[in-house]
Amino acid sequence: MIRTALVWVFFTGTAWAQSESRDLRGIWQAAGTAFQNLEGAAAQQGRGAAKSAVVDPANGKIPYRTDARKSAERNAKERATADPLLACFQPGVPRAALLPEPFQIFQNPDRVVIVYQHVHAYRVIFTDGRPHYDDGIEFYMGDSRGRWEGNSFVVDVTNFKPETWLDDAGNFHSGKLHVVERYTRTAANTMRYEATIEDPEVFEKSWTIRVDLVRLAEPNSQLIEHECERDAQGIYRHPPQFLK
Amino acid sequence: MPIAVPSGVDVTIDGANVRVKGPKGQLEHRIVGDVTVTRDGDTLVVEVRGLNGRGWLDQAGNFMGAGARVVERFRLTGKDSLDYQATVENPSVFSRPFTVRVPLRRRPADVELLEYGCIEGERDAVHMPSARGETK
Repeated sequence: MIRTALVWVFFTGTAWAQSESRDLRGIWQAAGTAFQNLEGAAAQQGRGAAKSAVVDPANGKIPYRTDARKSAERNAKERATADPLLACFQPGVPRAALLPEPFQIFQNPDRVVIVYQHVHAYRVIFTDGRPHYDDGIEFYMGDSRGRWEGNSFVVDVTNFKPETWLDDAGNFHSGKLHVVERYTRTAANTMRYEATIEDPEVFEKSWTIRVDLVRLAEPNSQLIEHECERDAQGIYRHPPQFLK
Repeated sequence: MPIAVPSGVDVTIDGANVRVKGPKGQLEHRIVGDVTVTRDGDTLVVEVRGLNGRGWLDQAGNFMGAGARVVERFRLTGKDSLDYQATVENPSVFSRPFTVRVPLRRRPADVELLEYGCIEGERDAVHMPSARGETK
């Protein structure tokens, strides 16, 4: 009986690896709490403990330059008023992939499109070899160009505006940010997400985060509208059901 | 089938927000737009329901209310041209359904969408052609 089950698992696993490893389509969402603080944090009032998503360097810490670390600490203290996400800015990359909200991946022969539930953010990732935009043209979500390396979809992201943050804790970047993402299917409904981050104005060296993505496999799963709305003072804010 | 609301329970509908208040507590649910896609011959038909009524139809202030139903029809008329029609039905605002029709043109393959981020202060508004006095 056990042997039969193992054989079944072996064959279904092989079939998946051969036929679907480059199929990223579906609705995905990050597991865990990396969105709170990439470096991890102890539990505090209103917030659960967060494990570090930083896998390189091995100590789990972001290799900030000294002054930049102070800026991150100041951001953390002023998050309620300073976090651009709370003011309905586009989330940026890699933050968009880490949020506790789903996103949907579509694949065409010459492009991969990612549509995020969060404030209608989207990325059109061309895979036909066209180059990045010139320096000086900046986007909140950056400019993304993709390619396949084995069974990993690798996305090179440049041309960032400096306003976005990397997480809720105030970890940040400058306009020199360069992100290389790797999306790698690990099973039928799971995918490994890695992002290597470099920014010579803010970090001493490049560093890498790793997060598991889980597919929302229910047949009627769909993204819903997450639109910021004006409050009584005329300020755009997230509807309360989306604040976590 | 209508749902009977028990006495002592108050249901209010404000746009897409439905609030139910009664002796056992209060619930609030936000209804989001719902879409059905079908095919009618060579035409793709998209039926949109659940609109919250806060959007306008154009820059002139024409509007529709909550509960409007929109049926869009997309039909290829050439290699790079598309016929777009939308029929709007909303008895609380319009005396009868009406249809708009607009030709759509496919842009060259190297054209990319650009990020349009409405943020604090609507800074991107200055980039709109209308704000620069351009008609196109």
